Amino acid sequence: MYVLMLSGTVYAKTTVAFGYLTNRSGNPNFNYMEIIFPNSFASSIEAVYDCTVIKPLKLNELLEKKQLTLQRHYENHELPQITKAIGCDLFIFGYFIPLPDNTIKIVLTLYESGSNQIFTFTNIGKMETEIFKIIDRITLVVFDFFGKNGFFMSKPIMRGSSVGLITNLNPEELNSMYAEFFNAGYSVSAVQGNELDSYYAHESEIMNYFQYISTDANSYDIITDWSKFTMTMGTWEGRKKKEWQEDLRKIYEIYDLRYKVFKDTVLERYKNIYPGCDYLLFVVYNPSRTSCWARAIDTKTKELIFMHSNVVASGMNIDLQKTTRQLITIIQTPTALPQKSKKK
Amino acid sequence: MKKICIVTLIVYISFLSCATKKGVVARKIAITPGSRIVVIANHTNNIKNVIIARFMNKNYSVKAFNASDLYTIEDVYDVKDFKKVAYMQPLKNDNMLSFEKAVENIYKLHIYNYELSKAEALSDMRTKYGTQYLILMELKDWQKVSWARAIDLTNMEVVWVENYPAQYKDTLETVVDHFIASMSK
Repeated sequence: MYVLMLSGTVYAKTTVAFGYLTNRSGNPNFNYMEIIFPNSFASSIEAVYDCTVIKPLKLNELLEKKQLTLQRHYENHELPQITKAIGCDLFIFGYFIPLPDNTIKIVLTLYESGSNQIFTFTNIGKMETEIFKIIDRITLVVFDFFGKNGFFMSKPIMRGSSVGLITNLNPEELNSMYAEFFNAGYSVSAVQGNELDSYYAHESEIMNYFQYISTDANSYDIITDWSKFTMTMGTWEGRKKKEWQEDLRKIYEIYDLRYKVFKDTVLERYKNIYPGCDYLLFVVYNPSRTSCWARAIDTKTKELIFMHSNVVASGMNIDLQKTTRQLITIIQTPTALPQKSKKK
Repeated sequence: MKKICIVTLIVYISFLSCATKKGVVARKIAITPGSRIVVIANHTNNIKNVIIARFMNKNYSVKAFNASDLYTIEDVYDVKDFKKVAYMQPLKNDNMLSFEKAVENIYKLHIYNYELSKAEALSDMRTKYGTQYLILMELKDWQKVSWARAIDLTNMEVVWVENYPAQYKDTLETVVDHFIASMSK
């Protein structure tokens, strides 16, 4: 969705608002960076994309007109309200913490108001004396995400590593995919995930649920707000209905609020059961197998380390093998800053 | 013009059918005769016997494991039922999005857990049956592609895969022999 918004398929200019990049170090000497960072990101994005940017001070002015103030931190469920008040399409904010080993941790969140999608990433790198080098590092991640079909990579998945592939392929196609990974120098763990079907959801639909992956440092997710969840209850309700509603509440609590905890527990067990598996790679192909989307989790750190929403091979007669080879090229190629040419 | 279109269509269809019958083979290690294996093939018992006999003839130690009666779909509790439950409650759109997310998370956890349960079962094959490799196989008619793969149960890695477009002259025995020759190279 972000990609569509900034890639020139829209008619009205996209509005991107920048909140603070809050200093969470507790050291006021770094406070000056709270506005310098977002202003620099805004300028970088404005230089490459044909969009309207709103910098933090201007944003605060706009909010004050609506009897609101720009906060240093927002909970996810507060974002729909704030973006509606400003009338922006994208809202970018975050925080930074200078770390003791002369590095800096920057956490940036990008929220898209139309789709309710939220992308958060963490970047830990050298604390450069020249701030523009840090800006470039972060801008690269943002540009990749905007300009390369929702691309994100915190580290490449190099040949020699072992991947567990969870896909929507049939067994014969899965063999072809495995063969491509073998040929490229990877080991493949015997995880496949394509055996589950359901009366209510086909396995291909189930696989699509993995588009959204939420981990501690990096996440691509949809915002939901269960504080607004209302259930019609009254004295007319019987005991059974109340029990049922209580069950509903528990389902939400376990599978939404505490889902990440449960998932981490499961992933912890992967380390023992698939000891050689370095990465879990979710790859879902389109029906003609000419494109796919992919997400990767590092099984050691349990973090989302890679995603791409539209992998397409170039050339003629594109098939499953070509698409897979293109995916392999992408996962092992470190990203680089794009050319600075103004795009709509 | 009409003739050209028809000829082009026939050539295209022939090309497509060839493309779908592509053979694929890749291996990490050779599974040599003498290895202790379990063969799982989703076929009737008489065909399974033929498959196992070919492996035994080549001196593989085939463990007695039958996977055809593990479970039926009636035994699986369908988590999607929760989604149906959500529709029974008069929810607003925002609520529905939240509930759908919870339901989707149930599925995701189910898949994560399923892969773990499967691996634990495979691990039991190694520890209880002393199996080294699991061979999965599906044999098809000559117009279609038969496939097989092998998993090393010591590290749970896939070590050999092959898609074999069976030839007209092939029989059940020759296809199995082909797979055995391929994995033992």
